Order: sequence, then structure tokens, then C-alpha cells
Amino acid sequence: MRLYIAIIAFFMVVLSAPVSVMADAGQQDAAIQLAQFEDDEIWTDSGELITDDLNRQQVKVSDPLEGWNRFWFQVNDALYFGVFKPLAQGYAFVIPERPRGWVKNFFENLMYPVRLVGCLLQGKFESAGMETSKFIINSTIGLAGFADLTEGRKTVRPIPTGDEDIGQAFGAWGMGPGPYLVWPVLGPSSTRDTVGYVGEYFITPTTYIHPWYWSVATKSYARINKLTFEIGRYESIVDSSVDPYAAVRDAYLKLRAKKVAE
Amino acid sequence: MNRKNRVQCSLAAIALCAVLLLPALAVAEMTPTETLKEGVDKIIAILKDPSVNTDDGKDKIIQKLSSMADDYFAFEQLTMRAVGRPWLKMPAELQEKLVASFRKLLELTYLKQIRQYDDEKVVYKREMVKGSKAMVLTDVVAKDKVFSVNYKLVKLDGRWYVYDIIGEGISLVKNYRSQFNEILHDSDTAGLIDRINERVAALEAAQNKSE
Repeated sequence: MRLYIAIIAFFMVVLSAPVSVMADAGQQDAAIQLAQFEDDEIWTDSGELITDDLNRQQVKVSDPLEGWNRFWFQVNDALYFGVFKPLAQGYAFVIPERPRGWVKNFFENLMYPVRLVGCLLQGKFESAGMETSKFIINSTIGLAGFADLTEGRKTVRPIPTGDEDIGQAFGAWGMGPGPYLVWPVLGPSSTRDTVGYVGEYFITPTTYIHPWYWSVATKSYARINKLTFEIGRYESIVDSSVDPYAAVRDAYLKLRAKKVAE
Repeated sequence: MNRKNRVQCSLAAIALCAVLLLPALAVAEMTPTETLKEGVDKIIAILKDPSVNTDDGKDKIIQKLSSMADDYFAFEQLTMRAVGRPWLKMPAELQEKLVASFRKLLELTYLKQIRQYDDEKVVYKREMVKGSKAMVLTDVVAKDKVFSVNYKLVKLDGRWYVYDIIGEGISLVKNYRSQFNEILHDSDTAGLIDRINERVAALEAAQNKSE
């Protein structure tokens, strides 16, 4: 009988030991963490193990032009709430969602050269091919791109999306974003992405509409049309933040970093 | 008792032992993913309640979700990490005030947002555990898009709590850290608490206006 009691006791100890050991380790960790919790991260935000300091995500942002940036952020904020948002809302009130969707598809299809160049610069040939076939199908059977026939369709094997641009390609080559920049009307950007914009300007078909003010008008219209699908996104960032400028800056840089990594 | 009997008996004892101990272990040792899933499922159940969309139900839901939040979020850890190093120099009293204000702000903004829930599905992709830290990677599958949402968890008293949510690569904690840093640079802890309270008041005013 004694043997059984001994066995039971043994198993109880064995089974409960890991729990108490782990709890102890947890408490110890908590004590250490409190002292250096900024550096206690084990994984990056995307889930990779941090093995050394080089792997650690850059916390500090480069923003030497903060005065200029903050000024234009304020201007853009006022423009958004005072002009662009009411305009988009009024337009969305008059034009139903479906035609607005067609217009959105049309202009997205038209931006194919930017995506293609973005893919090719990074050597993403499969995605480039995918974008090309999408462009051909949507431009022909899809009635000049008004319909997106490929939306939601599965590929035979997974091919990463071709949602690339030139700024992302520069990033994929190892270029950092450089100083953060806020442009009037255009909004948040970085030095790297600004150079990307310039390149994209020349391969955007709507740039070549003559005279220039029709080109600007077309681009503005495309932007307002797109905005009708995005109302509320900017507001939610501003609503939840105590310093909207810093919140938007962080969000922009992180989103771009994620796109570059993909 | 012969030898064979003895072996059988001891095996039975071990089995009994294991059976008795298992439930206790299961309760104490919920994995990070299980904890998260429990919380997410509860939230979805509350949001799917048809009374959510009535004017009367609105406040009730927010209250329900708010009282639930403590079971799944480590607000102190979250605030501490959002502040970063300056936290160590803050007096305990102000730390407490800051946690309370920040929690209020998060509740007001995020509870409002999750109420726009539209039958999105959550796919739990991966779980990583190391000591008292864990990370769970998930995808939120909406009608036409997939969003990556990652959670960082910390183990406190044998239970996992979320201390950071990373949506599409944007960490909640780090986003606030960049804001708090700016404010703490120009002002002090009291100033930061004031700024948060100002935002809370503005949000509450906007909410009352819309209702």
C-alpha cells in the first residue's frame, strides 16, 4: 500500500512541479522587465524572433522637418474636414455605390503600369504576370476596367498580390524611408516614397491628359471617388489619438514598412 | 497481492491521479490562443446579440464589454509599455491616474469601433510562447479583405493577458508611445493625463451629441 501512496505522491510532485517552476520564472521575469521593459521584446510586431540588436525594430523615427510637417498636417487636416470630406460625402449622396465602384475599378486598372514597374523592380515576376493578366482581362472583357472580373478569384497556387509601387521597390532594395515628410494636399510621405512618387508620376496614364488642368481634374476626381470608400478611416485615427500628428506619422511609416517587407 | 496485481493497481492509481489532476491543470494552464479565442468569441457573442443595434442596447453593450476587458487586457502593462522608459520616473499615484485615463480613452474609441463588427472571421495562425511572454498571429477575414492582427500577451498569476494589438503592422502600444513621447518631451506626466482627459471629454461630448 505504501508503494501506491509513494507513486501517487511522486506523480503529484512531478505534475505540479512544472507549473510552480513556470510561475516562479514568470515572477522573476516580471521583475526584470519592469526595469527594462522597452527592450524586453522577444518578437517583432510581425512575429519574427528578435535575435540581436540589429533585428530590433527601429523605434525612433526620423523627423527633422517636424515644424514644416506639423504645419502641413494641420492644413491638410482642415482641408480634409472642410473640403474633401464634404465633397466626397455630397458626391456619394448623389451617385450610388455601384457606379462609384466602377469608377474606382477603372482608375485602379489604369494604375497598372505603376504596379507592374513596382513588381519588376523587385524581381517579383509572378506577381507582375498576375497583374498583367488582370489588366488584360479587365481592360477587355471587363469593359475598360469598369468591372473587376478577377476580384475574389483564387489562383491555382498562391501568388503574392502585385500591390507594389516604386517606393516599396526602393525599400525592398534596402533603402530606409529617410526623413518623414508631409506634403500639402498629398499628405504623409517619406523621402524615399517622395522619390517614388516622382517616378510614378511619369508612368501614370492620367498624367498625359492635355491640357494639364484636365489631368489634374481627372486625378482629383479619381481621388474623391476613392475617398468615398475610405471615409471614417482617417477619423478613427484622429479620434483615438492624443497627438494626431504623431499617430498618423507612426501609422504611415509602419504601414509602409509592412508593405516593403511583403 | 501478486506482482501482476500490484502493477495493475499502481497503473490504476496513476491513471486516477492523472484524471484528477488534468482539469486543474487545464484551468490553470489555458494557452495564449485559448485565452484569446475565449475573449474574441465572447465579444462576438455580445455583438451578435440583436439588441446591439437598438439605442437602449448601445450603452449596455459598452458596459458589458468594458467589464469584460479586465479579464483579457493587462491595462497597466499596456500603459507602462506605451509610456516607455519615463514610466520608471513617474510617481505611483500618477501612474495609476494615467492607467485609468488611458483605459477610458481606449474603451471609448475601440469599443465604438468593434461595434461595427460585420461577421468577420478570425483565423488563428500561429502561437509563440517564451517564458511569461506570448504572441499570437491571427488573420481577420472580412468580406473582401484579409487583415493581419497580431496579439502580444503576458502571463500574470497563471493567466494570459493581452498587452498589445498589432493591426496591419501598426502596434497600438508603439503608436501611443510615439504620441506620448512627444507630449512628455514638451510637458510632464500631469500634462499627458490632461491631454488624454481632454480627448476623452471631446469623445464623450461627440457621443452624446450623436445620440
